[in-house]
Amino acid sequence: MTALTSAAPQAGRWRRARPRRVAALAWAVGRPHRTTLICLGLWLLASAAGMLVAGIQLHRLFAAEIQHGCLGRSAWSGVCRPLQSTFGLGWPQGYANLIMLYLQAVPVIIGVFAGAPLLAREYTAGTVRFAWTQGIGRTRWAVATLGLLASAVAVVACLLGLLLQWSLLPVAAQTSRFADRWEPGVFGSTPLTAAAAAVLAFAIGVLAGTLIRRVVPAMAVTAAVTITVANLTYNRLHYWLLGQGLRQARDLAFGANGNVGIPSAGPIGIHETVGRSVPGPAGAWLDQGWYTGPDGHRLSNGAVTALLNKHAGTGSAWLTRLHDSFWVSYQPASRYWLFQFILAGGTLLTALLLAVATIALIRHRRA
Amino acid sequence: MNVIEAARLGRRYWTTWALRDCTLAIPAGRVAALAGPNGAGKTTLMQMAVGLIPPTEGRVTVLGGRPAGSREALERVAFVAQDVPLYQHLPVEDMMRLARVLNAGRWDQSRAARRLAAMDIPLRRKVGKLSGGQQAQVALTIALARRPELLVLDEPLAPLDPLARHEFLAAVMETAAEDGTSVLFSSHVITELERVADYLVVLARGRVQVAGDVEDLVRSHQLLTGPADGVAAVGDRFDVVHAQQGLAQAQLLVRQRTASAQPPAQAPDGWQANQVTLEEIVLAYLREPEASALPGPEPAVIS
Repeated sequence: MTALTSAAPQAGRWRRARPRRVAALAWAVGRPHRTTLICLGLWLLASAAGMLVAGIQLHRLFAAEIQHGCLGRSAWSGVCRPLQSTFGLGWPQGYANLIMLYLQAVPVIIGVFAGAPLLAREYTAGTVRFAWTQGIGRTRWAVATLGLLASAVAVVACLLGLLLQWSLLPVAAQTSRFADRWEPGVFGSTPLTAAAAAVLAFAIGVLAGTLIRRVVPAMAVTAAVTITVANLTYNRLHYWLLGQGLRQARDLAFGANGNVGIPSAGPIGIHETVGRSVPGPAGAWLDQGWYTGPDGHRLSNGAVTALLNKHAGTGSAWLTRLHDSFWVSYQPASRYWLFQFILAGGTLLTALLLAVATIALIRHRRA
Repeated sequence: MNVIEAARLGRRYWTTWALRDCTLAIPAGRVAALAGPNGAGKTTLMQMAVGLIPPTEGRVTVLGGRPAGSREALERVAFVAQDVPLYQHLPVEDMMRLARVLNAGRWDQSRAARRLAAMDIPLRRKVGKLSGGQQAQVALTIALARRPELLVLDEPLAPLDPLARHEFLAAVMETAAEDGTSVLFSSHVITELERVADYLVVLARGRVQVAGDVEDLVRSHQLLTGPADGVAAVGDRFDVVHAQQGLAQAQLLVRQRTASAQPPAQAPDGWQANQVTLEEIVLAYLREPEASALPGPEPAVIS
């Protein structure tokens, strides 16, 4: 039998896969992991309940603020005072802090509890020797199992990301940089990026389980790796990615509210909502800001400090008087989704490569 | 067609060879027994034949040249592993449904249902709560419902009591007869092998020591009893597999040297020849790991 004639009917069988057969296969590969799937569901419900309760409260407070016209009013007075103080000083800040940290932990939890034990348990129980000798073949079995569980994990993380975004809307709308959509905690926890991160952590866990073949050590390694990945994404990858292909603009509106500061080397601030005292084009991610002198050359921080000490003053009037300019490099608001897709796509691609490595191990290694 | 062909097959774990230089061809339509002491490489050979272990060297194919473990092989080869690794936390009915989906093409549902009913296995009980014998029966039921062309059973009788062994083997034999399924099973229990096997492979120290048709093996071996000083004369006419010598008398298990077409050699005067059982043959070879008898069909040449 030539390779050609044996491959053709197989390909045909893939194509002929009907919904009912796919459902039956999903049941068959999911059944041994039913407890994992149920726990994932319960975990989602519990997390969702907490976020719903907090979110409804926040949206109610926000609605009251809008009703009384408290937004954008800097002086706290009358009926606005308790509302604004709640947002500014009360539990919403704590909630936002906690929930963003929690969303960072979601991929780690998924990798450790859903990913690592998945195949490690099959190895320790010896059930690989059953599963891998059935007519379906190892590769199809692995693709179906990983595909089903990865989809479940993606749905859970996606819903959690959606709830996070919704519940933080009122907070994001009125605190200067906190909970902004470009901020790494939020940027990495949108439904899109949260799902991708969860799938990557799951793939890391599955690969660790396949390599180590014992549940607890695989979980430990997965925890270490996924925490490192989350950390690097939050602290490095995010800033590196958003630093690519920056636009530059002379910021004429800078200092309109009178707070000239010395720009730092790193990201100087985030600018989400129009009407805030942060420079830059509306809704953009600001990477850097710097001053140039009358000749167009960039001023060093020391030179700016010297100028500030010598010529008192603030704002654009100050800049105009010295014939200086303030420049920013930024990602325009319109690129937000582009970068969302790049981050999520890159994450998913990495997960896919790990899954391919796992399947190659399953195909070619001793059971 | 050969159901299993191995060419210079070997598997090494770290520095130890579990199986080495194994060249073997088991013809189709046989119930082949795989015997050998612990650590002889029986499980390694079987797991390589079903694709669970990749060979370190050499090659193994099943059912006329399909690579072991490939999908076209797995569709037609059923394997029951040594300690019956089923999903312990699933009820029997879910285990069966799972197996049915994973073997969608050839699954025989009525056979599965009939067997489970005949065995009185409670469908709603979890597999892990069944007795060892019942678990083995569930595993065999799954294997038989797949309507395999080759059924590979690794120590299937170990967890069973004598009655269950009898029933288990009867079910295997019935299927082999009904469907023309080829069977390869390993066992320590040599008397069990003798009852059902018509082809025998003996492994020792990771090498094939005996491979051949049971009838041919029994016909070509005999037990000679005679004077101790006549051993050399016997050695001239036969291959001596195993010798037991006392002061006056010797007992030799010998093999015909000639091909079956030529007239068989006769025992020298003063020697008494007796028929031997398969068990005696196997034991004799196991006692003499250096002796070998490989009259089985040559495998097709695989480079």
